[in-house]
Amino acid sequence: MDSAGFSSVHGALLQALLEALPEGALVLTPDARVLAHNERAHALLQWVRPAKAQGGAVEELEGVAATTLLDAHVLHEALSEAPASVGDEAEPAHASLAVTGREGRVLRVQARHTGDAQAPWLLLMERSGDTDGPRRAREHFLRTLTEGMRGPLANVRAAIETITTYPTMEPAVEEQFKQIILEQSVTLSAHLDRTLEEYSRQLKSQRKRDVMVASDLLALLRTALQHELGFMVHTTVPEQPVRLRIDPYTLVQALVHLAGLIENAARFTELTCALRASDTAALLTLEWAEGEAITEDRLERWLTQQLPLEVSVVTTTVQEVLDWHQAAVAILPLEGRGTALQVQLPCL
Amino acid sequence: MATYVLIVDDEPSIAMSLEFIMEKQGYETQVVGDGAEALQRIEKAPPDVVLLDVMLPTYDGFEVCRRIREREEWADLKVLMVTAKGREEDVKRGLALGANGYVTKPFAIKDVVAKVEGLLT
Repeated sequence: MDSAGFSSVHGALLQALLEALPEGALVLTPDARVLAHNERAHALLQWVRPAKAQGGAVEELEGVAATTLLDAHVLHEALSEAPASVGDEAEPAHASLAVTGREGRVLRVQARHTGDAQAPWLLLMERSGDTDGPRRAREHFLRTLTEGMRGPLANVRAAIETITTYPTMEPAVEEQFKQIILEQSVTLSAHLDRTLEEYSRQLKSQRKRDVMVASDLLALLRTALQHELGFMVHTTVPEQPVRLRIDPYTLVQALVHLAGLIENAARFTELTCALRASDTAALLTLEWAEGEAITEDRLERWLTQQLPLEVSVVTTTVQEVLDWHQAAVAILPLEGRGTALQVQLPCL
Repeated sequence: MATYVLIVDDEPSIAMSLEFIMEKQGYETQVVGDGAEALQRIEKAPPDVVLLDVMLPTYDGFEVCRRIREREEWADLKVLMVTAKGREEDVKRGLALGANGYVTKPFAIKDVVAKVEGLLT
């Protein structure tokens, strides 16, 4: 992989810098073609040139239009929303968006303007849900958790082993060791609660929403519903692209969780996901034709249940996720066609 | 003369267990919870073995170990570091400063007993 368009020294330097980045990186030409990239970008995009691919072999990315690799509409918007700002004191212009990559992976993409005439754009890509902030928070959480547990756990273990190894010790001494076990167990519990609370606070403060086209969200939702719940899902999308500002990773998990609770109660086997748009809102409906009715009270209880997020020990509720997206949900009877869960999301 | 083990740990719970276990092995023991105080005790009566925690007030365990190894007359004194710092670099640092062994909390009693016996033979 060379960095065509640069001198060999600059090309080698650019390549070294790209490889040092934790994110997948694409450097684009003015007409948005790939000028240089790092190995992580290759792995994230899993790029196979459709016409030439032999047995699914991954090919080089140089010269490929970025709009072929990532959603054309959203990318165009990102590039036009972040104009050149070279020479400004301000932070370089950038736009943040979420796109669906190959195999349904959601990628968070930051488009940054470099100010260079030959290579005006740098795209930084991470898998949504595995971005740098949460990763650092997770590492800090694990380190704090383990380091803080070692001391009290050592005290508990030593006391238990002492009592069991020397069962004939004086009752007063045995009582002292039992007291240690009790006190240190309380310390352990408090440490666990405190560390989890801190981790939860950190993760919530780092959550981000990115621009995503609604059809991508719908495709993600369909895949997740079919995979997680195992029933048929039909989708309907509007002709006009609708753009949302969402955290697809969290929102899809919340909606799949909610759909699972409804399916468990209503016992349907097929679901239709439809998306309609008005000027200010996108209406996402999950419609089913069979099964018992779902009351608003029941929905209310489900919304406030704890939501087990994938790869996270932090708990939240569907309602919290919806509130964060400024979304509203309702159960609607569909005359002669069953019932629908309607999710209203503000669109851009 | 009985073997003398100095336990240096500012956590009374673990110190109590270590003291009890060492006494059951027939060793004489003293417990201190501070790095500077540990050095004073060693000065007065050098032990055969020091069970040395790392996280200590005044001087930490690494510093105590370093100061012990500066003194030629304490060359035979055995230092077993007993600590919650389980990272490889901490283990290496302790051994590089002259510790004779390392036990990471939480530990098994029989392991500590075996390590102390190993240092004394």
